[in-house]
Amino acid sequence: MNKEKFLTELGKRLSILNEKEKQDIINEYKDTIEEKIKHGQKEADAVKDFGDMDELVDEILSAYKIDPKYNKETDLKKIISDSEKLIKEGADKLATETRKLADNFKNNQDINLSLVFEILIKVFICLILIGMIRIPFTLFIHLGNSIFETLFSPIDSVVKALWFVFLGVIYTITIILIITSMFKQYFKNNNEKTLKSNKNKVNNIYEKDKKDNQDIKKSGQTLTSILMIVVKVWIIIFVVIPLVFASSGFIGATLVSIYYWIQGIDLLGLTLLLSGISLIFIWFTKIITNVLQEKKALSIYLLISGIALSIAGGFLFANMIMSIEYLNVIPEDYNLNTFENTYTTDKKVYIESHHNSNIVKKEDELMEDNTFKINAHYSQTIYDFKINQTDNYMFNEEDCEENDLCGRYNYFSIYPEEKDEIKIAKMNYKILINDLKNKKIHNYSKLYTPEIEITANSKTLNLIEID
Amino acid sequence: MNSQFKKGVLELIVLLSVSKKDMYGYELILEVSKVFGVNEGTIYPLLKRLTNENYFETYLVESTEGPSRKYYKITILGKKRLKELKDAWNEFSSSVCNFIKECDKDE
Repeated sequence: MNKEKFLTELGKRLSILNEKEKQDIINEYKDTIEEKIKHGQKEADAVKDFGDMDELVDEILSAYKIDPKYNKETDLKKIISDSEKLIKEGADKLATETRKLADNFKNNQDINLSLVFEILIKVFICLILIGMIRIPFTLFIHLGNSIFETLFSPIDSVVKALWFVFLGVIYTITIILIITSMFKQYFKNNNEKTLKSNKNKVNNIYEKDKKDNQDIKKSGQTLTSILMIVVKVWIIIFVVIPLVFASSGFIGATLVSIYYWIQGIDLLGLTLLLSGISLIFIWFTKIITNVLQEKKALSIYLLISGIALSIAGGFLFANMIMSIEYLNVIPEDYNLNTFENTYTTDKKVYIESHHNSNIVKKEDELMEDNTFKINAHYSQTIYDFKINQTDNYMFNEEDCEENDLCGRYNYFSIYPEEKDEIKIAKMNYKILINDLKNKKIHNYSKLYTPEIEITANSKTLNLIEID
Repeated sequence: MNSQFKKGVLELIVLLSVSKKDMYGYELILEVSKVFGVNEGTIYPLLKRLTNENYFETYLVESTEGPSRKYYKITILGKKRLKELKDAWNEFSSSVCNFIKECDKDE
């Protein structure tokens, strides 16, 4: 035993004495030990020389005419007053520790912030855990209830109530275990030791077998460690892995953004934003893995720089987006082809277009009767232009009744046929990149809507019906 | 040495030592050890008891080397007690001695 332990233990055993006497005795022993150390003896030996603690205490107390057996008697009053002392001491220690924690807030800013975040994260995790553990408990309750209904029909409400109470107690104990094991590192060791040794004193009084006490403590600790493992696995699966994915995703996005930035598009804002978000996610992942391994919290600067980057990047990116010009036309350097053909007809004409063609009728009185022109602008890269002509076509009865398409028509079917998709995709990509470099956006959908014009004189136009 | 004898005689030795010179705890332990080995743990309870019974007075002396030391000093009452114990011891030891001498003679 070392000096401090000896003196503290002695003080506790002599608590029956008044404070002054007790302090007096302790000082004497302290001085003697120090004297002996000065004369070359080791601390442990100096303490050992005093002999057995129990005998020593008995001797000291007998010097005050106090019956040493008083300390060991099974006196109900003494048990009660000791328990009161225990509770009071526990409450005092708790108050002191929380006060110390609060004082830390005033004194040390740097450690404090990460400690706060550490605590916040732990609280957050605790809430999640409490919610998650509720699920199996609710399941058990329902399971038990259905079993009881079938088995214990007459008295099932009583059994259900007992079952509920039983599970409720286990649930509460589990939560308390989680909370204490998560947060116990914030209460100094002294607190625990004092409470434990006080408990021992009370137990000594009515139960001289200390071993029982230790066994209960041991099994409590085993339950806690098992629970912690389960909790940690759960956290890893549901929190850490998604965070890792999210972080890698954002890091990848940042790299892509940098790539396009190099190509000439003004993506400074987006890059900063994505890198800021990546940092935040990395910080979150690291903090939770640290908490799982019960390591110290991560430096707060990572989080702060992440947030700063995101905000700055966000602003720049928003600015860049707003400065992009939107032009409701086809890109200028885009060459469109023109298709033109003239047709003659002796009967009514039905023109059908596929895809997204835009057909308009145009009047031209200079044209001859029964002649019309089909005019189309389209992108040769995207489309091949085809017109399929079927003469003397007759619609079925349905179309005649519903759509008034009766009789014979010359049927024209316009097919803008899409070409090689890969080529088209490549082309679109190039156009988009180029536009972004110049801070413009065009109406690309117009590339996919060939403009088709049907020109004829008004008399002929009446013969033409367009889908 | 037999612990029963030691216990009985300890009070005598302690009173005698302090009567020669005012002493503090550690000093006293050393002094008593000259006579026989003693359990240091029992010295202080004994000192406490003797002080409570007014055989000793205590006073503190400031020390340059460390904390202030408590010195024990014998009182008039203590001196009286010392004489009582000395007489008792002499009577006791001589009775025992004589008895042993006689026993030895018989062998």
